[in-house]
Amino acid sequence: MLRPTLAFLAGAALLAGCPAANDDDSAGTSEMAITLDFAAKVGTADVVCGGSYEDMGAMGTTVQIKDFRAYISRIRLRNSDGDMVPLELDQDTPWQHEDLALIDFEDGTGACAETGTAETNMTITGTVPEGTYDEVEFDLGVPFGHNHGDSATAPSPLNLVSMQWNWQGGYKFVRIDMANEGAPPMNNWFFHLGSTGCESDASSTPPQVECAKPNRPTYSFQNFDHANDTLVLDLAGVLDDVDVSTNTLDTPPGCMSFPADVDDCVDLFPNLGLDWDSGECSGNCGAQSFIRVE
Amino acid sequence: MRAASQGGGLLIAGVLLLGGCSAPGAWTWDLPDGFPEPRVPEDNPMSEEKVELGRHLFFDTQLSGNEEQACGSCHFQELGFSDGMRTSEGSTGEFGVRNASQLVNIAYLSTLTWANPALATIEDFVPNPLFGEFPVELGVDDGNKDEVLERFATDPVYDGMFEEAFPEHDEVLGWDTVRDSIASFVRTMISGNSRYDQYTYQGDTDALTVAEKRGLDLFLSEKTECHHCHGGFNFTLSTVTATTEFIEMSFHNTGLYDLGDGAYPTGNGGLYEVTGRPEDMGKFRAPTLRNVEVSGPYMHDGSMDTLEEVVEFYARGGQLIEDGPNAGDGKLNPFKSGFMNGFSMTTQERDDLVAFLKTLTDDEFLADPAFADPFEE
Repeated sequence: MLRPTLAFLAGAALLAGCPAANDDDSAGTSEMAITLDFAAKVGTADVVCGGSYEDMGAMGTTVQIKDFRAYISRIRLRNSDGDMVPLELDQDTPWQHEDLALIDFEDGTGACAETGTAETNMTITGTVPEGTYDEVEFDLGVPFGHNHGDSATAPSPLNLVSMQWNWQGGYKFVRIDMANEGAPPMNNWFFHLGSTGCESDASSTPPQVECAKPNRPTYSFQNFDHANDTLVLDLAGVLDDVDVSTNTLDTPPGCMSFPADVDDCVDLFPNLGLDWDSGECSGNCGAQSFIRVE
Repeated sequence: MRAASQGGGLLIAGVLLLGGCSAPGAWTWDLPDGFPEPRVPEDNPMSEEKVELGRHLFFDTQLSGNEEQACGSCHFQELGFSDGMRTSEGSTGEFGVRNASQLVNIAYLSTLTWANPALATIEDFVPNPLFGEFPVELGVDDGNKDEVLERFATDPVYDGMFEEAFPEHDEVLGWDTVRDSIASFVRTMISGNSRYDQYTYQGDTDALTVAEKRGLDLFLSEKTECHHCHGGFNFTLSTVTATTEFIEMSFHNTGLYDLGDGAYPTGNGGLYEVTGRPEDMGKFRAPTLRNVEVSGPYMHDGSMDTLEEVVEFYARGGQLIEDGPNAGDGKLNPFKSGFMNGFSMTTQERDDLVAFLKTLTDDEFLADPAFADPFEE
């Protein structure tokens, strides 16, 4: 007689104590599964760890990839009524948590071994109500509500030490680490995007209000065919007109988004559609050359 | 830390499996505020009996071939379980080439030892000091391994301890149970009550001085870049927890040496010695900085004596050695991490950084009787 009772209690504990893995749909609405495909490319070539890519940036530099990851969040699709409908992300994958996902193009091999992980992820999966959708919109970055939590106890994919600065600064929304052709020690150029000007009592405490420069652009793509199109993160596009051959003296290698790194960032931010001074998009974020649809 | 009743443990384990969220199990971690649950191998679940057996074995010189040394002979609690030597002398008098690692929060490391990506769990690691030949540490070998085990079968101190720790085993005394119990004990060595923790996790805003707070901000800044390798709650990128999905390792060339073409001193090439890949030359795992004040000398070869020396080395972006067998400018090492560009620093900033590092000392951990030598009690 004991066994069924215990089983029942276990079930109750599961319901009460833990978030459900998958909400049951309410009767009447049918859901459809959506998979968004992502790729990292230079022209037609995939960007891979250790691969060499010529003619990058203002000085035509050859770069090698050492890391390439990005957080994507708040994905919406436009339905036939013209309404933006949230893509409810699957919660049974370590790449997704609530409304954010990590896209990871590095496999931890070769040049990516220093900070990378073996696993890669080039899709985001979720559901929307059955229907037709012709536009996708999303934020590049971690939403403020998740950006300043404790990564030590956060769920995957927010528990990667290499993707976080600290509580005050939050996560690296985009991490593209590269080696360039410079002589050591000036042979690296890293791009880390994240919120800056975050105010709190200390660097180890989270801010209560949004940072002065959120640096979290929103991109939308019309005439988007979710079944056949791929969202391409373009290395040449994000480095367009940026001098990645050298680094400004006495600053971290490349652009790390914070104010003192202005000389290495000021030509890159427009490629994200971001205004360097405000950390917001000027007008809309459409004038960007980082992500395109193929 | 205490064991829950067997039935409750099984029930809760079932829920844990289904729900994938944390719940108390047969073993309850008594963790510091803000600390995640450590990852524990499924085939070696924690138990109070294993930990107690492991504590005895850790400090028992009977575990070495010639009964001269125990694990605790090179890992002293008051030094964060390091040994204060540049490199350590094994049971037969042979010296190794690496500094004895401190054993602090190693439950959270994604790889063990200074530079071996294959040693992913403490269980993987424990046989190394026991059976290692290059150098000989505890000196257990094929010739004496049965005799060494037999010592525990006849020592009354261990009467019933193996049976209680491994009730499911038919043969309770073996190198597998020795390994698993030592690993379980070492896994409990968790330090998280330093003044930094009191400040960060326990809400005591006065736990750090103004200078120490300045040092913390410098540590976390894009100027010094310390946090890129020594990031997270355990101050190393090499971190796994019970909820980790993607393993992050942390091997970096910091420009300590460049004997030519990026070479490190022979026999101490770091990750390169395991992988054979030229670009892995001089890459060593970033250690935790917890209790770093007491765990010197520093670096994989114990070549630096003071934290001031260490901080100045990082500020320069590598070490210049003018003459001698290791002459060369590590700053120019082609395999050096991109975060090791160096930075300019005033004397006060150096002192602030060092002051911050010393706030990671956890006096409670360094004197906790749970980790003390049971043969001294």
